[in-house]
Amino acid sequence: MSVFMKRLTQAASLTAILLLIGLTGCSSEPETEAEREARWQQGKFTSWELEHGIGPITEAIELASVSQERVAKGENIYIAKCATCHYLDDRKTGPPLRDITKRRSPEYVLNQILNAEQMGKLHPDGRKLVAQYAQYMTIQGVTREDAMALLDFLRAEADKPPVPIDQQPGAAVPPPSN
Amino acid sequence: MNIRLKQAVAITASWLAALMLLTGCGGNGRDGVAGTGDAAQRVYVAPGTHDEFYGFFSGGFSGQVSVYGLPSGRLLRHIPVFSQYGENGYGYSEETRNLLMTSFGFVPWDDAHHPQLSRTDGVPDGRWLFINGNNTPRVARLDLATFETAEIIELPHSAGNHASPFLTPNTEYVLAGTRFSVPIPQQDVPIDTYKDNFKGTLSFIRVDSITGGMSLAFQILVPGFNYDLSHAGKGPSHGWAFFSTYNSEQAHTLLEVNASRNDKDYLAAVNWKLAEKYVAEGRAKSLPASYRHNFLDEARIAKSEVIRSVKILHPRDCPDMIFYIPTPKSPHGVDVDPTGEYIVAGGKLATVIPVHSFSRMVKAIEDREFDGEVNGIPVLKYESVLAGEVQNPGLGPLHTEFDGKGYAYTSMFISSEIVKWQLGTWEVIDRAPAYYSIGHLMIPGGDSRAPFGKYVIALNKITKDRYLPTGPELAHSAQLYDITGDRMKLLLDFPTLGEPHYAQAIPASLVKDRSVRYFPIAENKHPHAIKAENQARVVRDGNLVRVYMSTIRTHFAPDNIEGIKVGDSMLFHVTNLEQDWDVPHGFAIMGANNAELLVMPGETRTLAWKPQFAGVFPFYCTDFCSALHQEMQGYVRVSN
Repeated sequence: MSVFMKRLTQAASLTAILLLIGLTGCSSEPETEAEREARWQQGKFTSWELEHGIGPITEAIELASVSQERVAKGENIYIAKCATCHYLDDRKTGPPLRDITKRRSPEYVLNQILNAEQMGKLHPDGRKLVAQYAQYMTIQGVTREDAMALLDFLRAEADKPPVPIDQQPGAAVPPPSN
Repeated sequence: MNIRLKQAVAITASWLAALMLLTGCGGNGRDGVAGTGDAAQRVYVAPGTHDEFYGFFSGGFSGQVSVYGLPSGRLLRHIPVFSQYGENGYGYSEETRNLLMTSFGFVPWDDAHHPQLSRTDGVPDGRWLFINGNNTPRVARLDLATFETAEIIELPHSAGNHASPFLTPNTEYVLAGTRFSVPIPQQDVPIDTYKDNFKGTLSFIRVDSITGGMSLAFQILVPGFNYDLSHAGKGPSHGWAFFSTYNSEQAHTLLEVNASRNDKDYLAAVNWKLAEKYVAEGRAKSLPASYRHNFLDEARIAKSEVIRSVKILHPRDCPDMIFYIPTPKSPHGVDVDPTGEYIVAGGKLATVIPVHSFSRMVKAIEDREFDGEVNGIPVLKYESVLAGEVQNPGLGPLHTEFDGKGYAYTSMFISSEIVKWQLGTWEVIDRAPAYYSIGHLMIPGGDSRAPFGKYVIALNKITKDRYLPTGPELAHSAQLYDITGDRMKLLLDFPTLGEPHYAQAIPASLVKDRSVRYFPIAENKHPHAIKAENQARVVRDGNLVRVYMSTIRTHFAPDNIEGIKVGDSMLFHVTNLEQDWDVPHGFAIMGANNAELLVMPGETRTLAWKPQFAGVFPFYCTDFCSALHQEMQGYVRVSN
């Protein structure tokens, strides 16, 4: 996204918030956390929130280039905390993640990781996924720093070709049979 | 009203109450009940909101502890302690079985009577709950961060561990006295040599102030009476412990008659700080023993160790360590008031409630006002120690708790009522019926230096018609009364699990913030834990097959297991990889001869299973975990 486009999005989201505040008749005080959650409960979202999710990430982040160190760290976290429910290339408990950084913004991915509960219960796109997979994403106690490493791992995987199920990162090794 | 008339009225009232009980009246008895709407409002805790107090009720012969919210009477948890518990695999899983080991082997049941909250400076601190096992003498410690049994220590040279596990003001020691005297050490002797061969012990279990870990510091060998209950001194009497006794007759048959002959039995007053000093000086003798100490280690796996000796003090070698205070008619409860000055005895066959004075006791000891001795233990003169007697309190006084405002509340078993009386004047202020046959009673913090007050709860032995009938076996009952005013007001009546023998309560604020929500998986030290799904595996070692299994919504890894032979023994080490509150997973496999496992988030638990014949056997998650819970399953293929 170009800097111009980012600015434009930010401006749009600001307008949307102002509009919402206008609608809900609040004063010009900044929205409190409780007010924001109440607004989400009523199904009212800014266009920024619709595109980038709801949670601790509330504005565009500047992404550095993919760091190999973070990718390695992210892979370990992915294997311990994500691979239980996700393959990169196929449906498991949750959706495949190979192209997630192409389908969704980095802010959205981070909000999904860091705020799985509200994303699943309140955000329109999150609710659709919960309906589709009949499952809320589990909370795994991922820190913001860990989430940034996961994001780099997913960015690095995005351009690689698909691999078979038994070679998916963190896939359980099938036990020996008779 | 003159005193005689007053007494006559009180006696008549008591007998009327008893008569009502005998004739089975009182089914609709609303006596003493606050106005219905008012009572409902005062115990109403709106949906989604929390109670003010945690109440920890013993389960009596269920061997367990149940946790109620008060004042609503909501059941919050049932915590397994001395009895196996199929609901979560306690006492069945490989990690918990050792908690129930004793010198008699695996003993999966006991009779749990007296919960005691750990205390600091004489006030409950919300860290641990101790409870006694009567039948195979044991003391358990529950951790109130996890609400689970963390440790059980067996008591040697003990039988009928009833006067237990009462705590000193800073949880320095757990007190324990023997209800049944037995030959010490055990030996084969005729029962009619009771007076010569049977002895009691008073045990002092040291509690580590940081970890809560228990170790038996020393025992005192005492004459073969029945030691019934105990309480530690506090404030000025800190450093002393008091034990009630009955059967000072030392009868060994038909005790209901033969142990009720003496006008007075005794309270034993023990200067435990002096006893501690005598032990440090080397006056204790080492006595061979064999008892178990079981505890959860840092991997949350129960270890069981055997200990082979105990230090024992003989009163003859330890001057001024122990005295007997004569006390009327088989005293049951021995309760120390918040100031630490008054020691209230519940002489269950007595017509008065005697109250002893600690300061008078100290003076009587100084002045050597003795009335003989028993086996080297000086007997103090009753009148020299007595502070006062509550006259005509009712019939069958058992236990007393305090509101911290100068009043005492005593349970009356025979006349089935709670009697409120004033400390110092010994005047009866109020009485309220209990439905029926109250045993212990409990005021939040009511045995502490600073009671929290507000309510008194009657813990009743007989239920009869209080609830809808459920065949011959009925739940026991508890009743909650408001005590904020001059008169007690019955607000709530609720059934309990097992026998609610005794209970303790503490403001929720002292416990709830320390409650563990899940175990961080990174800190799981179980040697058979797995930290990620790709570590799931099946490992064969001869005939022993270990399955390293993970759970997460909504699958097991591995889910299908083949290569198992008839004759193998399997251990399923199930690690729950969830890292969120209230997401346990269950594990059950067809034909298991033990129970299920309930595995908390981040925890590892192990179920043993022995395939008996060839076939394919399913396992599944028992705890409804998600919409796809019914899909959470797997198979074990067993071949010849």
